[in-house]
Amino acid sequence: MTRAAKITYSIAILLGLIAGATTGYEWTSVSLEFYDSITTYLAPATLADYSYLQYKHADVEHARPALQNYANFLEEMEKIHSDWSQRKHLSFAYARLAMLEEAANDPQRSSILMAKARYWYALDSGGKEPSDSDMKKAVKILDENGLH
Amino acid sequence: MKKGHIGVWFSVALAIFGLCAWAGFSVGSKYAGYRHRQKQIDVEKSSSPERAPLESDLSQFKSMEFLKVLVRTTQTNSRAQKEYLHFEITMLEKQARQPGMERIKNAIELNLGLAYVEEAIAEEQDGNKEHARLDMSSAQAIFSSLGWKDCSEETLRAVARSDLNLSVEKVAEGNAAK
Repeated sequence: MTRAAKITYSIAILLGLIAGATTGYEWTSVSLEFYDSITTYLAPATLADYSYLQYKHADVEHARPALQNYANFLEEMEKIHSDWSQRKHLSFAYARLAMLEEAANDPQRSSILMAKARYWYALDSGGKEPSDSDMKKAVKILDENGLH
Repeated sequence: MKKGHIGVWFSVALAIFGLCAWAGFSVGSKYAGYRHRQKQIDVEKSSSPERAPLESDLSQFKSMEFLKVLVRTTQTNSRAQKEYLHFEITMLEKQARQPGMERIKNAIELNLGLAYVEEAIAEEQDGNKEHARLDMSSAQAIFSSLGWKDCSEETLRAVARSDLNLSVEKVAEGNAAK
């Protein structure tokens, strides 16, 4: 092999490795970041789906902890990362819990939970709390349209 | 220097460049994965003790959603979809058995039940009625343990179908949000 060939091949090796490594690193980093952002956005949705399906299809004993678990999770999330849509979900989770308790003949607990629902809702409505019937109406519309 | 020699040199150099670029890509990609894992470990370590269970739950939800998205992306290819559904079921079963999953075990179970229903639908479409029946009864057992008032095939199929549609919409929403 001539000297010129050796130099040419060495440059090819060096350039190939540098170009490949840089592209591989960038491509994977961007993909992982994208995956992280998507899954972070979707992660609470797993619990939202679970609590909603339990609320819609399960008996009170199973639906109650599912909704409470979701509400607790969102409250914890609020401490880390405050977000208006999260607060709306939290408000509706409490409203559903209140409606569940009302159906289970526990009006006292139902009114406590509805107060929490109104509180979380009011935070993004200029402090103006909606009435219980408005909250129920909103939840019913959401439920009828399969939104949660 | 002969013209023919330059052509050979150039071809060999190009082949070497391609091979090295491929090797470099693989190394760079692995290094990015390693850096990403390290970053996640650092975040978990720096979390306060109260935040640790939340971070752990979030990480479990992320892997559940990842499995779901994986299945959704293969909706048009029934063979690949079945493979991924089977993979999803295996992973969810493993996840449900892991220690420390008490807080979210029922959510995992519900997703497992939905995956069984989807697999039953896929098997039925391929004419594997016995397999479909077994999947459906596994799903019914799960939903019954979750306190569902109606565990009929019709209800479970309807829920699985709407879950499929919702997931597709959510991925689209996620992309739009980005």
